[in-house]
Amino acid sequence: MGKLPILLLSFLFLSLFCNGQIVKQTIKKCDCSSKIVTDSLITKYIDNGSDKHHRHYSEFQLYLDSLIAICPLAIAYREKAIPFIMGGDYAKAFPLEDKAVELEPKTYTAYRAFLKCIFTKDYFGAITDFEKAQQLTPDGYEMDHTYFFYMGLCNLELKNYTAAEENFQRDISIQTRGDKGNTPHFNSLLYAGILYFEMKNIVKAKEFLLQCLKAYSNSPDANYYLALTYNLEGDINTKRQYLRAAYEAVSNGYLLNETNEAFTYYPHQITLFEVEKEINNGK
Amino acid sequence: MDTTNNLKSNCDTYNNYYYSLGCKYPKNSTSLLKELQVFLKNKNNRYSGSGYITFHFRIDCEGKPNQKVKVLQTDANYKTYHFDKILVNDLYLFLKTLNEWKIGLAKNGNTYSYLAFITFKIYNGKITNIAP
Repeated sequence: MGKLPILLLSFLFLSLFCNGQIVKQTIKKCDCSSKIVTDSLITKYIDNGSDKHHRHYSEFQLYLDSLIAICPLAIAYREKAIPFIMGGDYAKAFPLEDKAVELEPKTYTAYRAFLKCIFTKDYFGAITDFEKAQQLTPDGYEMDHTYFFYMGLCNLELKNYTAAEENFQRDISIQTRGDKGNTPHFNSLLYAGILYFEMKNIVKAKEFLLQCLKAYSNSPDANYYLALTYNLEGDINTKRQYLRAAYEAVSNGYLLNETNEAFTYYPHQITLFEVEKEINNGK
Repeated sequence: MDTTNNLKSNCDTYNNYYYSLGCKYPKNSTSLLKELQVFLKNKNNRYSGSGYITFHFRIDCEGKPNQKVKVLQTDANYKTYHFDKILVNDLYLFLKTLNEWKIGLAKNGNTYSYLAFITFKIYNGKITNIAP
């Protein structure tokens, strides 16, 4: 099923974009190494094709399969995997991600690492991929953050605190380029603060979480972990103050501010349940 | 596993996923994992294998999960795999204890059913994480 529409779409495209190179049913292949050709294909089959359809409907896959039939572009495999990642079907998602990495390792190794870190919580696998990505594209970014930010998250979750500390320091240093006047991403500050809270380094935990709140005062997570930090030193009044702020923030719809937060909880992310539980613990 | 379809007939079956309605389960992975560990301790079973077990199901317009589930299992490298039935069944029984699913309320004020899933990450027979 689906082969005929793919062929028809492919045929239509070839006649339009490959300059009529169809002679007596013999299809001369597009030059898939040409950027002009691949850009045109992406515009037609992704921007004006799959992207116009619901990701969980068959038309979405059909456009991408048609594109692959013409030129097996890495981006098409990456796009095909998205609904499977969103739907938790990893056996279908990761062979497609692997294919994208095989075709364009420089572009997609870090993306696969990101998926392992945030979506499937495969922290060892994510670190391995981010290390490869660092070799391929040193000090690169994926989904708004440096590779070291995500490696820091992985090591934080694996309780490799020394490694996580090195990762977050490197993350911040890449962002600020050594200039203290440059402010890092507020979630870099948040996670550095959470790491120091876990390490029971109260001074540094406060320093980073307060810096995070300076940039994002309604961060439920920064307020929550700052409350727990004050709790560590027995300052119950300040703990309550920040827990109340966390409660207000979550109740008013503020969340960990990350593009993919709707799909999955980020490491250490809290919800109203955890805040209320902590408030009730203190009573 | 009783996977009888018990979705209410007056509840639509659009292809909404939890994320389009802001309906992740309202506890984070750490909290759910703690509850799961207590639950499995009471079962007193031994498990093995590494990978992922994912249950797909629908939440109806009243925030109640449909009993009809689809189970997907992979090894740690995301290749199709089969865990012991005891583990799958125990996780399914735990899933049935989750009764705080959000109602799928859209911006237009209508309520919708939605598709949800819960993935258990397993390492050497121990549940190490829960997503999403």
